[in-house]
Formats: sequence, C-alpha cells, structure tokens
Amino acid sequence: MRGACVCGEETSLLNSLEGTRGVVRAKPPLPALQGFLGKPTVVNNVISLATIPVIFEKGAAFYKEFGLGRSRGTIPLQIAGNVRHGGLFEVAFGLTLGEIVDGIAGGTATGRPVKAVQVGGPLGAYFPRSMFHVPFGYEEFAGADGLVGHAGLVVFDDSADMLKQARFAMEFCAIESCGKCTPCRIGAVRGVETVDRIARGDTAAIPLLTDLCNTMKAGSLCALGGFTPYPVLSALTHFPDDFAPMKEAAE
Amino acid sequence: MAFGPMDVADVPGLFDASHPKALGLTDDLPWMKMQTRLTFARCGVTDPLCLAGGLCLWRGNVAAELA
Repeated sequence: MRGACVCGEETSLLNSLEGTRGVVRAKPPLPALQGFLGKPTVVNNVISLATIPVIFEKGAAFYKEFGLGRSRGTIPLQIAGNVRHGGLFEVAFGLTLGEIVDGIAGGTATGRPVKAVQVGGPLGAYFPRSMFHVPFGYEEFAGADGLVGHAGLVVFDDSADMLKQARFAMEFCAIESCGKCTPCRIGAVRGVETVDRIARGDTAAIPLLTDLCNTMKAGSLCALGGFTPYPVLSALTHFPDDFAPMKEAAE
Repeated sequence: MAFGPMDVADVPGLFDASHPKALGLTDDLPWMKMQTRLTFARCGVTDPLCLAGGLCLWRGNVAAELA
C-alpha cells in the first residue's frame, strides 16, 4: 500500500508509519486521542507547518490580514494542465477562479477556449466558465459544491470529454482504494461500469450513477471514496451534453 | 538572478558578465511580483535545514565578506 494516494490520509499514514498495511482506520477514535501507536497524535499538512516561520516572524495579525472571509492568509496555487503559464503561484485567498485561470494562468496552452477547471486535486470538482466568478476561499468553494483541497488547478480546453474525466475519477478511486470500506472498494468499480453504460447510450444509468455517488459520499470511511463524487457529479451537472446518448450528440 | 529557458549549451555562459538569457532579479520577475509569497517567502533564500532561519543567510553574507 505504500505509495497509494490513500496513504496520505492521516489514519492510513499512521498505519504505514507503524509498518502495517496503509488502510484507513475507523473514526472515532480521532488520532488526536489515539493515533501513532495508540498515543495522541496531531497530523498536519506540510504546507501548514511551512507557514509557521512567517507567522512567528511577523505575527498572527500580519498573516490574518490577508485573505477572504474565514479563509485567512495565502494559498500556494499549483496551476497545471492545458495552461499557458503553469507553476506554483502563492497569493492571498479571494481572487476569483476566472482571475486565476484567465489572468494568472493566461488561458490554455493550445489557445482554445477553457472548458473546465478541476480545482482541489484529482478528487476536486470541475468548474465550468459560468462559475468563474466564484472567489477562491474554503466556504465559497464549498458553497459552489466544490473544494479548495490542496489548491491544485488543472485546466482543460473545449476538446475535453467530461464523461471520460468522470470515468477517470472512478478509475482513480478503484486503483487507489485501500479496500477497507465497501462504498469505495466496490462503488468505484461499479462507478466505472456505470459511466461506461452511459457512454453506450444507456440514459437509465445516469440516476444510478447519481445514487451511487450519494452512497459513496455518505458511506465511505475517508475522503478518497467520499470525495470521488465531486469530479463525477460536477462533470455530470455542468456538462450534461457530454453524458447525452451518442446518437443525440451526433444529431 | 533568473535565467531561462535554458539549454545545456547555455550553462557555461552563466559565469560571464552578461548572459543572453538573463531575466534579471528573480524577485523582480512579473510572475513573482504578482504573488504574495508568505509561506514560500524563504524558499530558495535560506538554508532549509538551518533552524536559525534568516541567520543562516546572514552568516552566509559574513562568510562572503570574510572570504
């Protein structure tokens, strides 16, 4: 399991550190009460720890001045995919998604129109251009059925097939799943099959996919199975044409 | 100083007085100036393994002056 995506999940990480399989632990107990070797453990993201020096040097008030709403300070954006200017860009919370994608990233490398941006990582939601007004902040993105996640942005031009992207999310989950909980282990495999049914023109599979996503979201032990519905449902919601039967799309 | 985009052939010229691919000070690049680097402010500036932080840079400067 070492190297699997789920080994970044805090309880899988603790199991990996203890030399056992990197599978998720049921919570409670939270690691803060019973973590590494059963002792109270705090697991932080490296980015949180890396932000400490500037706060120590200039004070909490200085850091808090930056940001938007409850999202304080800065966020290092990882801009990637089909973009003209990719790379790491640290900026205060509050820019709109459009300012980031069109302004900082400079649109697509291919020069074609931006169709979608996946924000947060491989389990983040896809945003269409119509949602480019959303400001970059935790609450703001949650309110738009998305997530800031690790603040990675992957840009796609208008040649992207969002059904394929939804399938990729389910496939990713199936490969990376630790297998401990059923919604993630079985759900992701069935998810790939269900997306394939939709691709073959079976529209009856669309409500099934939505239902499966709700089960995974509510029933998974950790964010792997719990967040896979974000890319799947956002693709389905914002790009329904890509999920329409092929014969209709051809007409 | 920032340089780029670099090829292997551009490397020896780095030590000359001027370089055709020199972009000026890294801090002055538009890509950097548009940013608010707080978490990454010290990235590439200080010794990441030095607990004294800015002091390592200061020591480096002193070492350079003494040399």
